[in-house]
Amino acid sequence: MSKVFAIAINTFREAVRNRILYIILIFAILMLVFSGVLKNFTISDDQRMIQNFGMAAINLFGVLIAIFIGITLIYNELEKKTIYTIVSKPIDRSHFLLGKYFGLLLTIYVNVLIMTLFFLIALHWQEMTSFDAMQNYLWVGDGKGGLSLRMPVSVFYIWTAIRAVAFGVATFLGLYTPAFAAGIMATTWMTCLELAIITAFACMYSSFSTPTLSAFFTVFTVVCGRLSVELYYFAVMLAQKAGGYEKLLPGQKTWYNVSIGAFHVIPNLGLFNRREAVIYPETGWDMIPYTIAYAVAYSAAVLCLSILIFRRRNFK
Amino acid sequence: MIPAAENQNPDPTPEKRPADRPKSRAWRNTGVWVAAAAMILCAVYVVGFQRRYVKTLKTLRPYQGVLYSAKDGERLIPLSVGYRLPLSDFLFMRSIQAFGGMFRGVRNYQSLFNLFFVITDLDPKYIDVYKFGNLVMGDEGGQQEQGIELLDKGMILNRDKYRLPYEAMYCLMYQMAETDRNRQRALFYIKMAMKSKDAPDWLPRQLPDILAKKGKYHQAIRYGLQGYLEALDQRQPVLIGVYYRRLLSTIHNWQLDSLLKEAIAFKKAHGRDIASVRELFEANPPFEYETLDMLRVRQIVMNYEANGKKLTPDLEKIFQLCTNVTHEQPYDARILDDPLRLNDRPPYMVMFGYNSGDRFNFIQSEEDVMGYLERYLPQMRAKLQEYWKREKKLPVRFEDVLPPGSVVMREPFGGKWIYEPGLMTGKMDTWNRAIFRSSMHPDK
Repeated sequence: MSKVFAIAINTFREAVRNRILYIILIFAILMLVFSGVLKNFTISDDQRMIQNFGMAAINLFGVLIAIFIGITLIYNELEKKTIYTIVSKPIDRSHFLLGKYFGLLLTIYVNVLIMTLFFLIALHWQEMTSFDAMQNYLWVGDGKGGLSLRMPVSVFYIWTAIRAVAFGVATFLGLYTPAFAAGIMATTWMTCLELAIITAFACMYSSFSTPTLSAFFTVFTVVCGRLSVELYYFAVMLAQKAGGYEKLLPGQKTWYNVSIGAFHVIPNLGLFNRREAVIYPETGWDMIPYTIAYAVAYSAAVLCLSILIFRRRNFK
Repeated sequence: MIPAAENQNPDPTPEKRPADRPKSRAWRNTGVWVAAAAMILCAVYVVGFQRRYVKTLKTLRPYQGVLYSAKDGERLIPLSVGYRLPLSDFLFMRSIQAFGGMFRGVRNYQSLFNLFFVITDLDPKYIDVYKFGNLVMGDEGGQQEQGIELLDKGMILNRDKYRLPYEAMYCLMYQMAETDRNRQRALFYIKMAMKSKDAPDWLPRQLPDILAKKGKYHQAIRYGLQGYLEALDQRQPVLIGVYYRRLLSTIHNWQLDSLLKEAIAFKKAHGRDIASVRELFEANPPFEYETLDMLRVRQIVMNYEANGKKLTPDLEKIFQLCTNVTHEQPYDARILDDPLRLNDRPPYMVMFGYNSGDRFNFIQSEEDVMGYLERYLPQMRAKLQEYWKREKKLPVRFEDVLPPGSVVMREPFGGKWIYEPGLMTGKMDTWNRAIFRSSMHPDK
């Protein structure tokens, strides 16, 4: 276990030196800050716009980090031939792969949490600088029926920035959760679970192919995973149109079985998309324990497959 | 960790040929200038081409070609790859910009309508889209039916939101043609709105009005009475006033409707119009109609209040007791319930028309009207006399003797003050009765 841990920490140190990571992170933070501008373009609930955009950005950039860092994970070791020095030591290949996986996962999680923290700060800032909030906070009655400024506007903005950071950190740590930020941390954890599976796939592809192919395979897996439930609907629709499974034609039965089989095998990444629950709290946080178990089980299965492939890999 | 052998270059660099030697500074500068000039020329061409291309574009319509022409967003759900809510937000923003865009004269409402369907396919719970869609299609585009179609979709997918059926009801009642079918539909929508979980408490107050317009007076009166009794039980003066006035209005409409139907039947039977309402009641057998006896309601309410009992539990009993068939003629004194709105309304023919402010002290008979006028007339004439003494002349308009916004500027109960300064005879004690009088009161 200590070997896995050591490799994981080294992988993390190596990954945080990767410039691509910082480019993606900076871009993500800019997008999160930009989400505050978007609210001016709508006539409906501005918070919904910021929440949707922010959560989607965190998810999207998390996936991008997983893909871009994950695909070069093993390949770089082979390319630089540093793997020879590692596998020549008393380290099992499975330990090496697991260490790489957990190191990458740690990198991704740190990035996702940084993005979430910025998002929460941005959300608090938007709330504190909304028209109503400013009216209530900035203007006070002067006792003569008029209004006067509580403080200069520039001071207000500086003070609000400090408050937004403080409240954002408090929300991040779970110490204070206002209604507009309810469920965001939970959504982030669900994104983390999704990224665990995607990273496992990226590791697996990286263990036997080139970065370009790995990127293609991982993106393909992500898209398939998010659409896997459509396969189920397709199979059900086939059966419904025919009037039941028994009435399906032989060719249709094959399609039905392939679709249902693929639905069970392909990772169901749609399961981790609980962002809707932040916007519509009445919709579900159901099956959470099963979802967590599913993510763990699926990641473990993919990692086992990766280890099997990696064990047979010839480094010559 | 790269092996040391990897760093060793097996092939030493060959001696540089003359062509690979560093070029002179002047030559390098020339190359830079040529490259810069080429770049500028290319840029000029690109900009020039774009400027020419722009002239070939006929009309810019920001929503056409960009918006989805198909009224189906189901296919977009898989294409959004898990980001359907942000996508719906973006499309909603797109629809807002397209609607409020610069090409206002050529708005393509069908494209917008399709887009609203696409957005609500992506996020069926996006209530703002249904509301905005109805506003765009109905209020702005004049396509109320399409607006209602959108609200229908929202209503089916969001059964716990009262706002969508309520907006459909509003559209049918107050924006579309006053047909029987539309009123029937409005009735359906208001009932759907009332069944929603988030239905506000003011929603049932709309129902009697709609029921009455649909011609279902019996139900309208029952709902109106229910609201009135509930307001009395809850001791909410504003609601008492609201329900009371609506109840009176509904009674009036009910009586008017009954009279009109009877008048039509009379014409069919006798081949002529009725000379007066009185003719219907003097016929043999006399005209009978169903109504709510407000005097009886008043007595019951007072009895209940004296005993400290709640009225609402006995709603059905009170309703049965107070609804009766009568052959008494409705009081036709052209009474208005609001003297300030004299010219805005048709003549009333209600039995209990004027609410004088007190909850129960309403005008019940012609004698009451005359009593009020007898008190008003001397007061008005006294004002005129004061003006005469002060100014040594009569005012051009009678309103000049009263403070602005005076309630008695217009004669209450549907009459009209008559001010004719030209009739002044010169004698102080008799003139004012001639030049200022009421159209209803005999004291002329």
